[in-house]
Amino acid sequence: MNLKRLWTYRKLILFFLLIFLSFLILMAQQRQALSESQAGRIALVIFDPLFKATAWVDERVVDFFDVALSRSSLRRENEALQQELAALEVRYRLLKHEMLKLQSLSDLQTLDLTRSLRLLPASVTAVSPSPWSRTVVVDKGIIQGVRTNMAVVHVTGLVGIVREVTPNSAVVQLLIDQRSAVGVRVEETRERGIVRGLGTPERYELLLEESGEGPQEGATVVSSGLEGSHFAGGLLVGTVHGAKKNKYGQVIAMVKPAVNMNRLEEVLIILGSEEGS
Amino acid sequence: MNSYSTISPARLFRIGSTVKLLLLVVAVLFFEFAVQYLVRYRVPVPHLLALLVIFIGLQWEETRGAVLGFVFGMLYGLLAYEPIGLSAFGLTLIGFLSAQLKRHFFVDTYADKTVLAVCLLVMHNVAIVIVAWLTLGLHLPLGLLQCAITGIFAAPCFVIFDWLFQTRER
Repeated sequence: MNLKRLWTYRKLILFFLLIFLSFLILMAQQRQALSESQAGRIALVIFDPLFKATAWVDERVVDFFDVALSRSSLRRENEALQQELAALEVRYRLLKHEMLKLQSLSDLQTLDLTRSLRLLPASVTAVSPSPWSRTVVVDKGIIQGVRTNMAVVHVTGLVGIVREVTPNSAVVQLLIDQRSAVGVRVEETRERGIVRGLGTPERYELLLEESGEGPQEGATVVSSGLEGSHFAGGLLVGTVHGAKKNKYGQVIAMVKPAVNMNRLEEVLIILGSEEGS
Repeated sequence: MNSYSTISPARLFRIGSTVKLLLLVVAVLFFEFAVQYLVRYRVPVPHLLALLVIFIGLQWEETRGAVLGFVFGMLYGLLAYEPIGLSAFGLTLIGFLSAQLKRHFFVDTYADKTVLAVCLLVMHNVAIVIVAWLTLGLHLPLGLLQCAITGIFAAPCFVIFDWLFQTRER
């Protein structure tokens, strides 16, 4: 009798079961029980061709309209770039000469000036369409040496961190994502703090450790690179744009990202330093 | 002994509908990712997957709306690298509610469906923001602009879905 009655409410019961299941999955993530998501990796591998196809189609569409609509401006831009390239070539030769002179000085040989990072260039092949996730997929993965928690940079500054890796692609969680945070230092005052993403590409939030006057407008914010951090020190995060104090006296500043996340196409994944770390 | 196929026309139709639905989901995901790739983060992209779930709820019934909403939501959450379960929760909710609301309100024209879709999308976003705050402590944006942009796409999408599944009476 009771079962019959239950059967009449089967749709409602199924609905609440699914809702409950969603809650359980979310709660499991809060406890980080689902941090290494095998299902996510499998879905990424299966849909990787789809991402690459979208990028391929988009690039062809953009290229077609770019060429069709801006032929004359492209010619002008090309000429200007060629002139700039020639000037840079000269400057490069001068600098190379100066560097060779510096290297010949014996006291500089002990310094770590030549320490450089092993960088892997990667192209963005997909951008998360969710308004609640600021991530991109890049076309390099395990085969090329990418691992989770590697820092990702752009020529202009810090981009984010690798969160998921498949053989030929990786998910990069951008610094503007609400789940992102990085330990930073204000370059001018050496104050330490944490920069957090706000989900918007226009700004980050900087929470300073010390309750002073706060950084000045335009101050440079770089990654602190403290022990335990996934990011190397000195990577440009952004510049300060306004600061205020919260009710606990802590200084909260707004930081303008150094990287324009709206135009992210090519990034560099830091694989480690040349020494092999 | 004859070995003729015993698949009935009704069964063939069901298999055809399922294949169409799967292809449609892939096409919708392709569209969302392609548009987002083009615009990067400049403007929100229309959430066509949510429109598809609303359409399923409106055309069929609660169980199919809720179950497919959950499955599509899980897939979307995994691909978009959202907190997993967030979209599953939202799409289950609107898949179920669209079928429920159709029982209580007269939803016939594309204008009716568009209004209902926008209301459900706002409800979906509000529910997700609350759940993300309660379960993960995240303060997510409400995304009302995305609801408005998706609303613009609602009527054309429903026309295409109707045509694909031949659900509109002639």
